[in-house]
Amino acid sequence: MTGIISYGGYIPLYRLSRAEIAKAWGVNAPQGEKAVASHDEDSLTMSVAAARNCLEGVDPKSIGALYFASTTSPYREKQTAATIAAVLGMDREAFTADFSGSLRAGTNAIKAALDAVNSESASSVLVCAAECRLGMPNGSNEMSFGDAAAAVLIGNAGVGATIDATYTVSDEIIDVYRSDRDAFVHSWESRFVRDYGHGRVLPEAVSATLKKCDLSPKDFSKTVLCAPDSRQLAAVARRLGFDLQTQVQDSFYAQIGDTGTAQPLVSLAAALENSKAGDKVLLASYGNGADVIVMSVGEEIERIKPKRTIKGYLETKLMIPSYQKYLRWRGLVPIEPPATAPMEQPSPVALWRDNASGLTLHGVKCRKCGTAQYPAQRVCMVCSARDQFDDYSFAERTGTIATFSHDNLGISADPPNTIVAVDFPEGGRITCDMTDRDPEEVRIGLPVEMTFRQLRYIGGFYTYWWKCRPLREPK
Amino acid sequence: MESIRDKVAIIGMGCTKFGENWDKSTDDMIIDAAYEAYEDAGIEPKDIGAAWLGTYVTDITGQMLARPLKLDYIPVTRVENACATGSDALRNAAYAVACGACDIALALGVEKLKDSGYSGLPDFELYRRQLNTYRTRTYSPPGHFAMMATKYFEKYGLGPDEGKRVIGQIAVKNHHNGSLAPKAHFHNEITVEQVVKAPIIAWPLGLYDCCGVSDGAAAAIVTRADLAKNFRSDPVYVKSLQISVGPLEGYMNPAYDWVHVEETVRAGRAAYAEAGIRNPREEISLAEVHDCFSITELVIMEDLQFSPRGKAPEDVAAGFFTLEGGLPVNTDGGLKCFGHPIGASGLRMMYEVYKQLQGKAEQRQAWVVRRQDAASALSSSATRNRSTEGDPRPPNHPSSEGQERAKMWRRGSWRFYFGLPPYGFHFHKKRPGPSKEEYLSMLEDYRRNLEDEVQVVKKEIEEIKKGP
Repeated sequence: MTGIISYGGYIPLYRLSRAEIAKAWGVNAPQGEKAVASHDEDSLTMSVAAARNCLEGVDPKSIGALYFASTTSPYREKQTAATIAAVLGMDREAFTADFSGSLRAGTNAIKAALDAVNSESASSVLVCAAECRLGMPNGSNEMSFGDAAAAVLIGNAGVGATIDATYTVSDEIIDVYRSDRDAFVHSWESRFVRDYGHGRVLPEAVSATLKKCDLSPKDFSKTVLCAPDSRQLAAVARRLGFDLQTQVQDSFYAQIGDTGTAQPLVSLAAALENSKAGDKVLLASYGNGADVIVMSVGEEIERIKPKRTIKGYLETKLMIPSYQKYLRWRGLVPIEPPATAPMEQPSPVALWRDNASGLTLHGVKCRKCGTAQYPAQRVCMVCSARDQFDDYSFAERTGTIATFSHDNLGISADPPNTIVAVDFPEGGRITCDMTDRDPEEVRIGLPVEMTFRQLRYIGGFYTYWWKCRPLREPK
Repeated sequence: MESIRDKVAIIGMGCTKFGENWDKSTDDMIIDAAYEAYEDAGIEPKDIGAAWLGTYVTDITGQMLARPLKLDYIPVTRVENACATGSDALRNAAYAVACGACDIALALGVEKLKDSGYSGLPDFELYRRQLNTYRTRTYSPPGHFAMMATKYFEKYGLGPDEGKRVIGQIAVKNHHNGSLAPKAHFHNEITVEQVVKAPIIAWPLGLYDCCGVSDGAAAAIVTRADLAKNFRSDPVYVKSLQISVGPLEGYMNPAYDWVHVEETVRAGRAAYAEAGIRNPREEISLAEVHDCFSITELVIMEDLQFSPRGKAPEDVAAGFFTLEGGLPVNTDGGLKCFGHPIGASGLRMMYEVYKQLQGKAEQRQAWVVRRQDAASALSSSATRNRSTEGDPRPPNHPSSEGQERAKMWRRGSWRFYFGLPPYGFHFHKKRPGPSKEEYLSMLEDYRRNLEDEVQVVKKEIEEIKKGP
């Protein structure tokens, strides 16, 4: 009885209208929008966001392994799963691994997680899938690719959706690819990709799964089929005999685009949000082969519904006003550097010493006077007691803006850099950057929450820290 | 605890032109400021017993001063204390002469910012390191002070436009004063409209709310108070030098309100106690304060008790801090207009106070100081003849009322200075000056005295002519 014991998605706040891209290149405008990671987001930070959503009420120390899945890890060499595990405050003996190489990486990781739990090598495994792919400017991939993340926790206690069966097939084909020398994803001629890649392998794998499990399309209340766009999704679903109106989970191509490795998990999260006990769900992903997973929804599904739903994420958005801004955020055009002193390279030594404060947003609380403070101190700022503190996390707390400025000289890819002092009602103040904000809406007293973001990229490595943002709630 | 009050005097000062000194090296500016101060004090370089060099980022070690000045193997210490660097260099030099470690000390502040190629300040990663982490804020100095402006406006109910106009008047005042200071970085007058409409640097602060980024150097020669008159008749005596350094907890303690600077309050309080000031608003005649941004000057007016809390905007609107006002502030244009070569600023402030007290501030001579000095001079003049024994001339006959009044202003000329990070500031203290009416009446008395004296002299001349 192994399956999903918790899940949660994450879609960045920003959307870029495809018409805006078309306008920049003087081409016909396709419908819809794509989700775009903010200038300070990447697959790592989006994974953290999805994982925090997934782990609401779950003790991170109880998780036995963390798998990160993406074709867009911020590093080629340096494990992203280890960073995420540190940010979440997981046990250091939890097994961490990065899955990559194809858009199946997310379902590859789920299968590996299932095997780990079934073999009792881990009590539960957190799978994070995130994607932040680049298509070449003025190309069809640029129009279609979107950024998102999702996480599922696989275990065998309190299962909301049991994994009944899995099926997998590998397939060697050069259809969609990005070599180690490329920043952009390339595709071979679209008809070849459509008919002999996705259009051949995915139906083949789903049919094989149904046959193996002795099931037919009508047995499923929801089928999550990954596809590069809505037309291909409809074509494959129809060919397999699923009813488009009632059975097929939307992949949100119109709202967020093709979110790659994240797509199967984001769509699965959306499907589970609307499932009830007794439903059967099929998940199929594609990428040099296909993975198919068959699930049965149980009574626990209501209990594990995340606080932030895919529906909620789709409803809260900010439009990126121009294509130029998108180019700047993704670093696709060289920008004249500001006339200020270049930033010094941070010291990995200092960063390492600072992991508790910097990555987990842990401050301290004084045992003598009870004052919460960030960053961690050794001498209390109120009563001067030395080294008498308990660990105190600020990550899940909300606060309000004590004061702010929109700083045009502060270094940011999204100027002005909004800087704020955040006061927490249970004590403590953190002065930090604010992100995902409309400058017009920022005011003293505005409630904010903390979010893990990229702070800098200098000298070949990323520095991450926390920022605040307005509470992300549907209006 | 002993006090430094009345133990030290400044006997010479120098200051270079502040600004974008493309054609001057750091060494050039050090030499120009130091030799102006030597000359002003009437001393030779060899008379210097010890030196303190203030610089923020230009270079390191005391050799930076010894090398261009060819100092004779004397003790030289480099001081760095952010924007109070120059003030702190002077503080250290003053303590050295006060304790008798040397008779004459040099304090020199210098900064060369414009070789960097940047329009802003140099690498503030230095600040970030102070917090023992690299994962800290990404904001600029104006951003930091802008957060004070945001909160000040909110707390005292000023709308953004209204608030910007209030602090804008400070920039206008400082540009006016700076336009009268030949060594200032800028010499242009500005209007409140220009301030309000200027490009935003860090909301709500615009271009004209921010101080100049400049090159410059300033120097002071200090000696023991009892030796001062050997060098000049008008030394400036130190009444207090106070510095307060806080634990920077405003960033992390919600108790901090963002509308005051505790360090300024503490240093001010300590300086007033040391100098014997009870009512700063009434007793202080002139102030040089750290207006790195217009909001900073507004808040300092309250922190130094010149204005009650929340009332500085009213005093600004009433012109209380202008050259003609009751308490002129930043008579040379301040950091805003005179410029801010960080390590030099504290000594530049002292340079202005020194010149004002000696009545050498030319077009920008503060009205209050001029009036007080004139009143002192009048009282000397009015009593001169009466006290001169053996004068064959008959005593003149000023009204006794006028003479008594004139005497009032003669007593107790108190002058002092203090500084602190991030703000250094300096001022002197005298008895409160006479009101305009009193002063006019004194002048009338004096005119009558002179007329009487002219009559006496005419009479004497005629008597001598008629004589044998």
